[in-house]
Amino acid sequence: MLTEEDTERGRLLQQYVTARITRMDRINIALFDYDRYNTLYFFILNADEQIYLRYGGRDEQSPTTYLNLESLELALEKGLELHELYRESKLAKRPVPAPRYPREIPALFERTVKRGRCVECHLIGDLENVQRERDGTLDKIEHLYRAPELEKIGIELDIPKGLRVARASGSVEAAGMRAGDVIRSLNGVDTWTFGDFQWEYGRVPHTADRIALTVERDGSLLGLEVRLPDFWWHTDLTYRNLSVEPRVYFASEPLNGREKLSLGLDPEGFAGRVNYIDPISELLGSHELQDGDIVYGVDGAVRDELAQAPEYYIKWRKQAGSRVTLQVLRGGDHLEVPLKTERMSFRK
Amino acid sequence: MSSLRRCGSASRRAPSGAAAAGPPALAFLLVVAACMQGAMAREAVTWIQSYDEAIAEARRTGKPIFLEFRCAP
Repeated sequence: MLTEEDTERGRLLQQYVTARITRMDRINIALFDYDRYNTLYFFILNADEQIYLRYGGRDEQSPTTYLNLESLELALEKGLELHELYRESKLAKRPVPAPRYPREIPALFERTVKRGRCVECHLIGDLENVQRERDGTLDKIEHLYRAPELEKIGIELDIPKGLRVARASGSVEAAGMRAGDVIRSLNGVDTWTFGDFQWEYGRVPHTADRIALTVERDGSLLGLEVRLPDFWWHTDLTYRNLSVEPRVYFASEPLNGREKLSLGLDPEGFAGRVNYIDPISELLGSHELQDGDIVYGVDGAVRDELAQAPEYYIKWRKQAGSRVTLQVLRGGDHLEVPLKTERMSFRK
Repeated sequence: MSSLRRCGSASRRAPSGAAAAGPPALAFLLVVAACMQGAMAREAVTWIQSYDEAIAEARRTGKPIFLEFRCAP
């Protein structure tokens, strides 16, 4: 049980002021910045608003993968330890960011605050991006992909033990990480929990090709330089229902260079063979693509510095709700196929 | 983004929620939910619902704050 008094957690929690926030109206979202698509997210801080650590984080499969009572106890113990250091002036004080409140996001104010509706975390996440889109400042790659997956660099954690590595493979193994290591910092910033780590990892510019990790091994600290694989930041955003991501209702498999050349297509282009059509597309009248169609262009564009498949070109370069024309090869014929993207919306 | 190579076909997994969570994770959520409803005996802590009150209480007692954000009450 989380808070029963005769448990270790209960004893730990009694050394804290415990607060539970379900409305974000009066919360300084600049200070409490986190991926808003977490079902639960915790901070340990003090009365001076110095944040010691975070507890939370998620992967693309589930909001609960990294939530665990044993690791929560570790976080609570660490929080008390850091608080003691702070009281003894042994912990550097960090600047508190200038306050920013949900009502200062016009799209959120109009939709929610002004109507007296509950300002939920995910609404902030969504409408902040809607506002960026309106302002022309939305960078889909940086703003939408905030929770990179550890598995892409080969880290498998022993989740109950916090940042203890259960298995290291791929990029981190090549950098020297081993099972049993405990991750202590990322790019020089202390990380005490998975929540700390994922938040810092999500803040690494997505153009970066390496990160610096410090791990603890046999009581010593060891620095590792990890080369990041291509698209280390990319995750499936489906669960987020982000209203700024166009819904296209098809998927394709990228063609290889030889296939593209044999079809007379740009070998550097993003052509893909349609291998999935969402059944709802017929109901919505989204498009009339057929399985096996080769989509090689979108509004005349055939290549992109990022997207290798046409659906990603649309997701990253087009606005949700926009109409585009696809250039399609079907049975040797070149066709123009209209596609109407959809803009998702939240229940509130 | 020019230093990046282009993106391969990404995973297209279906939306997932609690059903995708393993038993320990589900148990965690259920326990927290039970605590939230005050359904448990011998509750060790009182959950303050106001951030400002939590700060004031932390200043008064010298304790750190364990602050939870959750999507729905």
